[in-house]
Amino acid sequence: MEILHNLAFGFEHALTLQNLMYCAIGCAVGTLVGLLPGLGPLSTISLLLPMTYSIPTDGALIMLAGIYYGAQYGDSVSAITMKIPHASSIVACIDGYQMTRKGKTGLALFSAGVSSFIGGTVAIVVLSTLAPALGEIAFLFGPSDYCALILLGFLCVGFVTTGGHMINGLAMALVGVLLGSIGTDVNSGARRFTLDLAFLADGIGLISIALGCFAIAEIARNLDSRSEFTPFSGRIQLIPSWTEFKRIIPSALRGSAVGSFLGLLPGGGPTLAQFGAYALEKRFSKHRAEIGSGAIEGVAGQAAADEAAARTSFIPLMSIGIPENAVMALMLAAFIVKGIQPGPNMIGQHPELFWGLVASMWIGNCFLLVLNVPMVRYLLSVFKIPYSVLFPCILFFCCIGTFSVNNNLDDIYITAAFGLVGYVFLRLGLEPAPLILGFILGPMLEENFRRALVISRGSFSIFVTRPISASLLAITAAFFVWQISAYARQALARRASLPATHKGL
Amino acid sequence: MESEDFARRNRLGASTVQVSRLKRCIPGELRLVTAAICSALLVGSVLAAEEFPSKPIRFIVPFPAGSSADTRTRQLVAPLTKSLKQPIIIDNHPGAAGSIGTAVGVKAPADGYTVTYIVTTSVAVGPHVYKDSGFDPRRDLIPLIVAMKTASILAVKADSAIHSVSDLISSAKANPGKLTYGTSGPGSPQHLMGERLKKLAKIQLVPVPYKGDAPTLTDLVAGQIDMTFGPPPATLPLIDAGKLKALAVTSPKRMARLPNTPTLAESGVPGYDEVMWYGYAVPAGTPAGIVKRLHEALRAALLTPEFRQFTELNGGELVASTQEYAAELMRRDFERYGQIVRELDLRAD
Repeated sequence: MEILHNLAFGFEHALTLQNLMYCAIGCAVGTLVGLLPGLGPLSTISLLLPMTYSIPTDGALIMLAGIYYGAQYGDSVSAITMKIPHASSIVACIDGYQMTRKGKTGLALFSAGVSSFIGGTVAIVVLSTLAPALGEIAFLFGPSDYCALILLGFLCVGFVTTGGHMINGLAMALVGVLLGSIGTDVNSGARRFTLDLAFLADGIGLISIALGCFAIAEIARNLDSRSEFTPFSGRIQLIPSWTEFKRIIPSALRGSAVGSFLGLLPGGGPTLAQFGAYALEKRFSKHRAEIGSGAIEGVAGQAAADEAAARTSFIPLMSIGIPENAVMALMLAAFIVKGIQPGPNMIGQHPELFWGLVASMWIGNCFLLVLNVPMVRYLLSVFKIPYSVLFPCILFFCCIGTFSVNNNLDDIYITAAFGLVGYVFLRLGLEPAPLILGFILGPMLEENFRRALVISRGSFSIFVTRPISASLLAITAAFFVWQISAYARQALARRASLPATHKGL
Repeated sequence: MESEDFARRNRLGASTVQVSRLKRCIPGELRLVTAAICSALLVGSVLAAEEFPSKPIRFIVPFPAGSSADTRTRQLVAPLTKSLKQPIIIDNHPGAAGSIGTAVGVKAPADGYTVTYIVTTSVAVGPHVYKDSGFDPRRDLIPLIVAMKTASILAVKADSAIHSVSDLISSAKANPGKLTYGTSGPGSPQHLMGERLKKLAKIQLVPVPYKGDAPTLTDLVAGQIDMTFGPPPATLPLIDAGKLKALAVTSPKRMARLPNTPTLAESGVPGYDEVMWYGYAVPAGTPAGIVKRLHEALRAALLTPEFRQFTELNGGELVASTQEYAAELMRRDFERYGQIVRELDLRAD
């Protein structure tokens, strides 16, 4: 009852003409930013931050939030159609782009749009009902628990490797871990692999690797191949059949659950949520054999997860006042400039801000569904531009996007270098998705592992005495044992039967 | 039609045709008057270039958008735009704990149109830790003003067994090497404050590095680490909400927002004085008149009631110093931290 009362209060604030306008602007800008390669919600929000100083606080919050979760809707579109990822739609490049190659662009876009809507809705329900309690979850996870969670996350490497050989995926993940170690080590302050170059002191940016390995490599491959590949040779069939629509729902719900949870953890957010959802789909979905070569589930799970994660990442900020990723830190800055000190119990002290935000998320969700599903065919007409004009434009936007992160020209050189490396990977049949997973998880694992050992004064028992860490490690170990025994059983069965039948793994 | 044929045959083509058309539009005497007006306008703009400032001024902030450095500088944009009558542009160049942005500011032309945000970490500590940062602050920067000094709050979890600094010291002496404190990495302000406490109180504490204040404070509230030297803007809300307890502040005088919290110097660590200051600087070689103008504009902007309120809200001490004080403070801290970095062997290579 209390929740309905609070929501009514929130809608009262969100449905004013002014706030509706801010919501619409935020969602529209967010979708546009998601569509354009390179420029992500982080750069856009930091560019627009000065503008919000003259807008009332609740309007500013609604607009900035709209940009953030609107971008999650939009970035699936560029990933599916042109294989151009943002940090949180890397996995959409795998299945989504495969669906485009098979001519099922419309279906992929519809799945992404509807799953984002479902993900957003689930997250809003979570926000309304559990927000104060969930803020405390961040306090339950210590460094050893994060370590165990990340080890579990490394299992996703196997799921994200879609080609034939697992060894390729593992090798790429390790290359990613090595690339992640470039920069200043947080524990010792030592600079590793920076070649005495100042711009490498903080490591390579994720967006440089993602754009280089996916977007630029794909453009290079298109230039290289004899056949002219046009994603939009005909009409785009957006409305799916009933069976296809039914397949979206379970994946989207699973993705929402994963996304809502991972969005709460500091350092988590949409980037990690997409990998978790993809792995979950590959493990538990009914159509898992198709995932990797263009299945709806691959697109739906990821879209729902990153939308849910974007919304639940507001919880740590609003309920305990601690920003858990760079975008939330910008929101915090917007509050501070307005003279609001976010802190614990911000929900209690500024209820109109929190409930106004939740209510505007409902409104934004509906608005984005309309913008992304029926209207996307008009936005996509931009891809009917011939490649000779389109590709330079894409490269231009990639450069702007990478530059806008640090205002540093060297980032563009790094992206170009990864474009070359990514093209080589593409030709050799090595996949970039495990590399990016390793790049994200490797440094987090090292940082938390060493911190756990510093706190425990060198004793490894901390990993088994803490309940969360112990249970996560047990799950990981059980999974390993089960996989190895399954493999052994299959190998024995193969040897026993004649002629040998390829079951694969 | 004839002129067009002529144009086609002529190499210079259209431009010749257009010039001849112009000549026909403006009759003789008017041409002279037009020329006179144009040159007068040109002279006017040349004269305007002598008057500083005549184009937008760029403020380089070596930290990401949304950081405290960025927020503080953006507070000054409105009053400065009014007093200098030119737009102020904030340019973020994050990286390497402020070294990259400061190096960009140092290399900018010394004409007063590039002002760099400087803070203890980037000009007094950073150049010692990162030897290849590419600048020497004493030689390459002219400090304009010290804006604000901020102390840190020595905080512990609200239900911690430690209730005061003397509890802390006795607990540390009873269990050497067991108490942990959070830092933002080797060479960060928290690390240096902790090391100073260890030296003056003769105790052993273990630094635990984190990537920034937010994870440090999260782990402190969760009880993973025992204490930290928290920056006031992030720590005060947690103290007000009862999640953290303030044991002491690191400045020589008590903080206005926490009148009941003693300083470390009063609590058994005499002589403890560690504050972070920030200010603005221009590259060496900027003309003295421009330096003075910028200093006065900044000082006026810092003394507005809005900025005073901002300072109090964030637990800082407004300084708005003279130029000489700023230069002296930077030089003094550069030498002091040079010695500390050598003692602690904090070089990044």
